Formats: sequence, structure tokens, C-alpha cells
Amino acid sequence: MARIVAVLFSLLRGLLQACFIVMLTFFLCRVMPGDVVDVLGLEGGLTADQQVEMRRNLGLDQPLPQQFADWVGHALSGDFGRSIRFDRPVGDMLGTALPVTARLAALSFCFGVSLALLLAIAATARPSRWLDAVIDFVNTWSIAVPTFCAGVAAILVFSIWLGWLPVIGGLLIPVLVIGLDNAGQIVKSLREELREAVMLPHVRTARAKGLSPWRIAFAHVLPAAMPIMLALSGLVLGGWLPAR
Amino acid sequence: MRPILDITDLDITIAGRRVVRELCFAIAPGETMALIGESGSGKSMTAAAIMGLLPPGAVIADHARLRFDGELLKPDDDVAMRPLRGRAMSMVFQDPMSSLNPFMTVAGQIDEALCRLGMGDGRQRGARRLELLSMVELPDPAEIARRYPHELSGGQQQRVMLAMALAAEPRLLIADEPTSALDATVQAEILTLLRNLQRKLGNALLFITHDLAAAAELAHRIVVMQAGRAVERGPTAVILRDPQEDYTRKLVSTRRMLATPPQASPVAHAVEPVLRIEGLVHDYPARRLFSRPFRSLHGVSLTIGPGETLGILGESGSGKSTLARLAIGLARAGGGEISLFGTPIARLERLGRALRRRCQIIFQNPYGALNPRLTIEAAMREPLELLGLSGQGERARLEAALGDVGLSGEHLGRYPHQLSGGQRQRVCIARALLSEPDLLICDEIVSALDATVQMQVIAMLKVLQAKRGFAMMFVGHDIEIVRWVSDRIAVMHRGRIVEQGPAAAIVEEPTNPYTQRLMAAMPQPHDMTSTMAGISVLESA
Repeated sequence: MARIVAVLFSLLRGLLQACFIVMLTFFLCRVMPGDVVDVLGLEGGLTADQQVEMRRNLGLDQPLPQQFADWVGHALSGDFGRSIRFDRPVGDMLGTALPVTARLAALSFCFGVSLALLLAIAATARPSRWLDAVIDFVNTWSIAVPTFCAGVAAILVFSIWLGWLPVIGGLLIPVLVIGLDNAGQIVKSLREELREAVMLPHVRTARAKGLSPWRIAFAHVLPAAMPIMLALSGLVLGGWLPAR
Repeated sequence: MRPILDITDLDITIAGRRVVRELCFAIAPGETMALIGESGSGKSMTAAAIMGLLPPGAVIADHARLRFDGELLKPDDDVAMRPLRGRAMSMVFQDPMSSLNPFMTVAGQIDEALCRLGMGDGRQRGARRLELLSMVELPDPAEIARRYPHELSGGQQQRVMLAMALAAEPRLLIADEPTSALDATVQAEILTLLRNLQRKLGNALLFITHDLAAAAELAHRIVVMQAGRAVERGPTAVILRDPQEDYTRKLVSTRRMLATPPQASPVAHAVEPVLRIEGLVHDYPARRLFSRPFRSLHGVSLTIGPGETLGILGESGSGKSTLARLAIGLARAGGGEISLFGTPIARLERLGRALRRRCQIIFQNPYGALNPRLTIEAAMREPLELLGLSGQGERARLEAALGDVGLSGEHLGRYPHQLSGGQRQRVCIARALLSEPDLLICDEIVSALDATVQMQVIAMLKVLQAKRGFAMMFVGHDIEIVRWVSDRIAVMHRGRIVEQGPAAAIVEEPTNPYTQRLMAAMPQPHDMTSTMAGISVLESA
């Protein structure tokens, strides 16, 4: 019971935070002088009358709190407004982009976490300089090579020079490139965490019980490293979904 | 009879340092052998070597021979050792809280041990699990099995560890300081349990401890280790009666010294007490929004007269350290009154400089109490400067202070890590006494130290007290040590003082049921008391 309350409590807090961020973004956008009509006016030479008319249509002549209330009202009923640049409803645009983004994020996340786990566990079970070098490489790669660079390079190599994969629409290269980046962000900390976890007294107890190395790794060592792994994964996942 | 465990010429090296040297001993089936030694004497390394659980970097010399039931052990070979662990030999460790997996229920952890024994059937395992848990005398085994380790008390955790270790009815059980992390009453229960279980199951027991009294209570034979070597060995009674080696003599005489506390100093009651506490209440604030604050002190009252030593005796969580911190103004009281040298301080935000100078506190952990980046001189100079006492002849003053605690001026230039635990605690005492306080609060100051060092430190403290005449509040959990130091004792239990009076009366004729239970848990091996009586007779003759 206490656990459910705690979960609800943190969900509620997250929701409140999200609302606050939305509000802050809305008002910050309007702190700068000028609005979208001014931009269009500069580009297309609208007359002053047309600008006034357009402002009235868009509701930009209302006081700020009123604008915010209108926007929230529409957003809650599923209407996110129209993109003036693309002249399409924002909701539709999100709707077409979201499934692809989600699939890409989910696949690359799974690949990244599996790779990180595999490397970290292998390096812990059988310490070797070679594996540690691989871990350092993946980690440095994710820091030093931005995904858009790696992506362009991969397209150049695999799609254009080698002709193995399609340039547009293929998921394999993006998943690998982004997954490798995800893995690099997790693997180093996970390895260090596991290195400490194998020295924990309860892992020694497990060894004293005569359990097999696999049983010890999955039932005793990994759970101890889970909190840091979840926290890192959350950061990685949270970073990718809005970014794509 | 062939020994169950036979160790010859065991040598263990870690990073070029030999931690165990030429160690030989054997244990017969069903026998209890105690390996006694202070921290760093190599006793835990020996146990780890037998189980094949040595930390990475520890190397066993090639000429060492470890035989288990006649078979040669290969402690370096994990694959060869694994079938033996948890079957023929098993082990319980010092700190049961961290030795149990915090993410698994008790049932899960015992099941694991049973699965490993090839017990495939779930119902069979369930029955065996309950049988094991009731064997270690846990009340309501079914309920305990459902819990996670953090939902159990320290004693219950150690019982669970024992149930797990005994799942296969091993022929050798290694207990590595199994009671050192537990309170006195719980410690006595676990020792009794170990003996009863051994009688029932007939396993050999290798009991590793630093506590001579505990070893005397349990073991048939004793091996005394010092700096990696076995310095003395023999039947328990013989060792206690007639210790041959210097080190063993020191251990035994430490116990003898504890058994004969000095006379209580006469206290003048007419004068103003240095510390008077009335109805003191303290709450730890609630951790969460809707939970209640935790009340750690429920109306505690006591007084300490000038030059008097009041012992505060209690188990962990009884509120004794909180009381010490409140008495010196390091925490805020929730209610009640504290009067320090006649000045009420319970409502004060912080103590004035004059009051600070007159009362000083020494903490349990001498490793944490000294800044590792300051030399001893800098660390000791700091309080002098803060209290505005620095000036001419400072260096001479520091040297004199160190001289009082049995150190010398040469220690001034050293860093804390270059000193032993006992030396560090001496520095802390010297530092506290620099301002010539009238009240010294000692919060478990010897519990992190080895037995012989403990005695040296408290004996020195008493000498200093006789010379300087300060009053002491001596907080501790070890009955014998608190008894030895104190004129009067207040026994704390769950935030209350349950009994208070002259030290001898509290220890010998307790009236409160809790105090009686506490005193009954004090190890009193018959061999030893008679031995000590014998020694005292000899000495007085």
C-alpha cells in the first residue's frame, strides 16, 4: 500500500513538473518582443490591416493569461493548433512522426542496453584488458562522435559506396548508430558499478553457498547494480524520444 | 581419528606482505576450535583460504597444504572448491545485514541453497525451509521466510545466515566473528545457539573471534594468532589458566583487569553538578510527509557531579549517543531541560565559547575524527585557536598534552594514517583535554579498538581523570568496560533510563528486568572466573 502511494506520489510530482515546464515555455516564448505575425509580415509584406486581422484570428490580441487558457483548453481537447509554416494540424504531424520515432528509440535503446549489459557482465565475469579496452572505446565513441556524423558516415559507407542498405527508410543503420551511442553512455558506469558489486559481502555469501557463477551474476551481482543502470537508462531514453 | 581439517604451513601474501605465516592447525570432527586474534592478525584470511574465497591479489604459497577430510584442497581453483562449499563446509560472516542479499526474501535465499543441493521439488524445499528456520529457533518461520533482510533484526539475520549455512548439514562450519556486529544480549543467544546446533548436528566448528570471553565459552581448543603467526595453542582451560606467550598473557590479563574495577571516587553531593538533565525529550524529524517523527529520548533525567564518571550503558538504538550529543549542545532538544555548569542550554542555538571550553566530546571512530590532510600538530592546534587559547609556549603545551596520553612530541609531525587506531584515539583524547575541560563526554570511544588497546586507553583515561579531576559521561555498550570506568551507571533502553545507580550495584544486583537480561548476557565462562579468582589470590598472597 505504502509503495503504491509512493509511486502515485512521484507520478503526480512528475505531472506537476510537466505542467510547469509547459507553462514556462509558453510564457518564455512570449517574453521576446514581436510575434509570428511580425515574422510573416517581414517575409510577405502584409499590410497593417491584414496584420491586425490576422492577430484577431489567431487570438494574439488577447491578454496573455487568456491566450494561455485558450491554448490549454484546445490542447486538452486534442487540438494542438495548425503549423503556420507547413499549414498542417500539429496533431497530425505529431501523429505521423511519433510511431517512427518511438520504434527507432525503442529498438536502439534495446540494442544499446543489451550491448552495454553484455560487455559489462563479460568484463566482470572474465576480467581482461581487451574487454576493458572495448568498453573504453565505446564510451569514448559516444562522447566524441555525434550521432549525426556517424550516421552520415555510415550512410556514405554502407548505402552509397557498398550499396548494401537503402539510403532512406532503413532502420538498421540508425538503430546501430544510436544504439552504440546509448551503450557508450551506460557501459562505463555499469562496469564500474559491477566491479564494486562483486566485492559486496552478500556476493561473497553467495559464493560460500557454492552457487554457479551464472547464478551469482544474475541473482546477486546484477540486482545490486540495477539502480544505477535504471537511472542511466532513464536519462538515455528521456534524451532520445524528444530529440528525434 | 582423522582430522576433518588439517592445515600445514599456510602462508598467504597480499601485495608482497605476508598476512599469514607458517600456520598449522587441525580440527577433529565435531570439535570447536577458536582462532583468536586482533584485527590484522590474519585470522579471517585463514578462513577465506579454507573456503577458497580469498580476495583477488591474495596468494597462497606453494608449500602450504590444506586437507579436508584427508583430501587435498585447492583454494585457488574455484571450480574445484565450488562442490565443497555449501555442502561439506559452509561459512557465516561477521555482518549479517550486508551478508544477506537485500533484494531477495529469506525464503528465496534459503531456497537457493537447497536447489544447489539438488532438492528439485518445491514443496519439499518449503518444508525443509521451515524446518531449518525453526532449527535456528526463529519464532514463526513461515512469516520470517516471507520477509526481506532489512525487515529482520540483527540477531534474526544471523539466524537466517546460520539456517542457510546448515542447510546441507556440513561437516565443517566456519563462523567468522559471527557476533561482533550484534548487541550483547543477542550475542549471548547466538553463541548458545551455535553450541546447541553443533551438539545436534555434530559438525566441526572453526570459530574466529577477537573476544577471548566468547572463545572461552564455546571452544574446546584455542589457537592465538598475532601478526599472521600462531603464537600459542592448546585446550581452552589451559590457555586461560596458564598463558605462556606475552601476547596471550596480555589478552588474559586484560580480562582480569576488567574483572577488578578500581574503587569508585567519592563524590561531594552538596556542590552544583556539572551536568543536570531533566525530562529530556528528543525527536528525529519525520522522513516523509505523513509519517510520525521518531522519538529517540522519552524524558531522560540524570546528573553528573564534579569529578564523577557516569556510565551510559545501552544497546544500539537505545538513544545513548543522541543523549551524548544533546548534552554538549550538538543537537536540539524537543523538550526538557539541560543545565551545563548551571547554564540552561536546551534552548540555546549554540554554546558560548566559555562553555565549549569547559566541555569536550570524543567520538567512537578515531579514523573519522581526525582530518586526514592535517598533521597531528595542526589538528591539535585548531581547537586552541578557536577557543582563543593559543599563544606563547604552544608547542611545549602540545608536547605535554601528547606526553599525558603516552605519546611524544615526535608524533606531532605525523599524519593520522601513520598512526594506529589506538594512537589516533589517544590524540583525540589529548586534543579534547587541551582546553582543560571540566566535563568530558566519551561516546563509545574504545569500541573500534582491539581488546588490549581498549584496556590501555581506558586505564590511561582514568589516570588522567585522577590527576585533572574532570567529570566524565562514558557512553558504551560493553558492560565490563563501562563498569570498569564508571562510578555510577545509567542503563538505557529504547530512549529511557530504566535503571540508575552505583556501578557495582547495577552490574551485580540489577532490579530492572531489562538490566537483569543484559547482565545475564555478559559472558561468564566458569573456567575463566575461577582462573581469575586464582590469579587474584596469588597476587594478594
